[in-house]
Amino acid sequence: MNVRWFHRLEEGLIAFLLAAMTLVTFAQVIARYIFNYSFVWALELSIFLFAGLIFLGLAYGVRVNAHIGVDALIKILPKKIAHVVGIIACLLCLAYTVIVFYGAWIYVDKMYMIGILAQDIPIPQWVPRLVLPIGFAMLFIRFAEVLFHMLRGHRSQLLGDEAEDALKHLHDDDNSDNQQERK
Amino acid sequence: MTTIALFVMLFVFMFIGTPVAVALGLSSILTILFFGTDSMASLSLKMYETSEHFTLMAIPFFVLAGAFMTTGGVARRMIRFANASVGHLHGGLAIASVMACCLFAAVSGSSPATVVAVGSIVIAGMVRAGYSQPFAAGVVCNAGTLGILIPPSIVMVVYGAATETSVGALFMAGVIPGITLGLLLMIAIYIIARIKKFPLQPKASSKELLTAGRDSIWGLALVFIILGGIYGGVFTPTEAAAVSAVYAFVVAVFIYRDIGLKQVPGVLLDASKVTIMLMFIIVNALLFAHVLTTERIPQIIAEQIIAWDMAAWQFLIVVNILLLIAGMFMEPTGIILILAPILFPIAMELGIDPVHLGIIMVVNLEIGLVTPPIGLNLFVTAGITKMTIGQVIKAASPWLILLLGFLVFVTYVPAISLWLPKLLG
Repeated sequence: MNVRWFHRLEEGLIAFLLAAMTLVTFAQVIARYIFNYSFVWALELSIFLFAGLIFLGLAYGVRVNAHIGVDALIKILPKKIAHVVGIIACLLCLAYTVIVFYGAWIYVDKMYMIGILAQDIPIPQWVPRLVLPIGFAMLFIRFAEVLFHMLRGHRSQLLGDEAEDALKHLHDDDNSDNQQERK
Repeated sequence: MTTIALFVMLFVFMFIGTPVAVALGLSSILTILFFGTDSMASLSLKMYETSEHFTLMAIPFFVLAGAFMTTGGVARRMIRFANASVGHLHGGLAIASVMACCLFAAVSGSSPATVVAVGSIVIAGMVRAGYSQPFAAGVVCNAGTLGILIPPSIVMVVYGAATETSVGALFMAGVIPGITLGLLLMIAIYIIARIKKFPLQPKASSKELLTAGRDSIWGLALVFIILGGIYGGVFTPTEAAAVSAVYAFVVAVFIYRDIGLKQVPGVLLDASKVTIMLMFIIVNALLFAHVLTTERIPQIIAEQIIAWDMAAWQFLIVVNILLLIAGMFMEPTGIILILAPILFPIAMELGIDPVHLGIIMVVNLEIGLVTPPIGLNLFVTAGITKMTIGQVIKAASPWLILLLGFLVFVTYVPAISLWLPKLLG
């Protein structure tokens, strides 16, 4: 199954959302202080983009092992028990996503029924809030994928490693250090 | 009963390895479903509202600014400047490493990032110059904690949002304690270097000092934009963060030319990943705080403490011990989000300044970053030096005494934190 295009799309969307919310906020500052002009819709737009980044990004976070946790106990458990505990942790994550998805669905449905518009941007309130159910549905799929891999006995990680991430840039820095030395 | 259920669930979920965010969210949701009256839809509304919190929007922007500054050779330029200014002193390379950590902390809001950016270059340099590796690693591992004390600081933004304290005042309050801790580390190194007779380096020419200074000024200007902008009334902390993200992009791509435009999407994605991780925790932590408030848990503890006639200074001892223990097991953002809603109302009852409490918490969490078993700075130092975690713990521990002494100082001398923000009003 070829899912690369979906990964590229997901990454592109997330990077775009962050860039867009930064630029909208930046443009707002510039407009206000240099041109003494304020976009009324800028704040609301950046909020919608931020919500999109958070909730649509959750599933991506699982895929790249971003979500951190406490793994001190798991590391000292015997392998077989750790495996079972890992599966339980995964099931809890799935239960969590199901509950939140259900709540989000009711919430968005209510907003749809009421049909009020957003404050400054002429779209109904329920549209930007769609990221909640969509995000948690995607999160469910990613957690289910981790569980599937665990049950098949593959090496699969639920938790991220922040230290590992911080070390990622090490190689570029190493090279530049060596270059400096050669000079 | 409700309280016990909430905390038991939280700890069980966390220790069996569910992500912190899910542990916080699930324990809160289950508590509300079994004991509370809120509807499911209102919980989702609460989660969505996190994104409407304008202060929190500073987080992705500061993370992005830090990402641009970390990918480039900003750290290398600051190290060169630090070496040129203090490298010739006794223990000069180690002192310069501390100075470089302080400088880098002023463009980055994260401690592990500071250790990696500065440590990956200076530790090897110190070892080549004849310092022992444990000494070099210990210095950087501890000095790197300044990342969250010297502004900008992501931990302070989280504290500010959780307790509705001014982020600008917190940033300002971190400046003097940050510089003080840096100086304390430098003085300690100087004394050790005199006793142990560390090798001396030649003094850099004033031309080298000037070039190095001019070269690193673009990076350093960031902290002045942030603090000057907030205090000059030009923008809010969140707007300052957005401006610094765009500024960092311009510096990295067009001025230093450390990265090309092609690498920008990668930097954006890296920053998004960190943002998503932090925001997922925050979204759920705010649910958790909501349960705490509806159950009046902080108020009950506060009433109890006041009934015991506990003085503010006694309460602060409890706060410090609690935070030091929590710091051994968890990372800073999680601790702030779980403990701030509990400790903050009590501290207010006892008349402790909200900004002062914030700085006390941040200094505690700095210590948490270098205490085993879970200390992010220990892990990244082990990663960049290829030492074992055990060796790093041993190398970092002598400096802990200094950090603990500094904590007592910050806790009981509020002026060191509050003087600057009060002066600037």
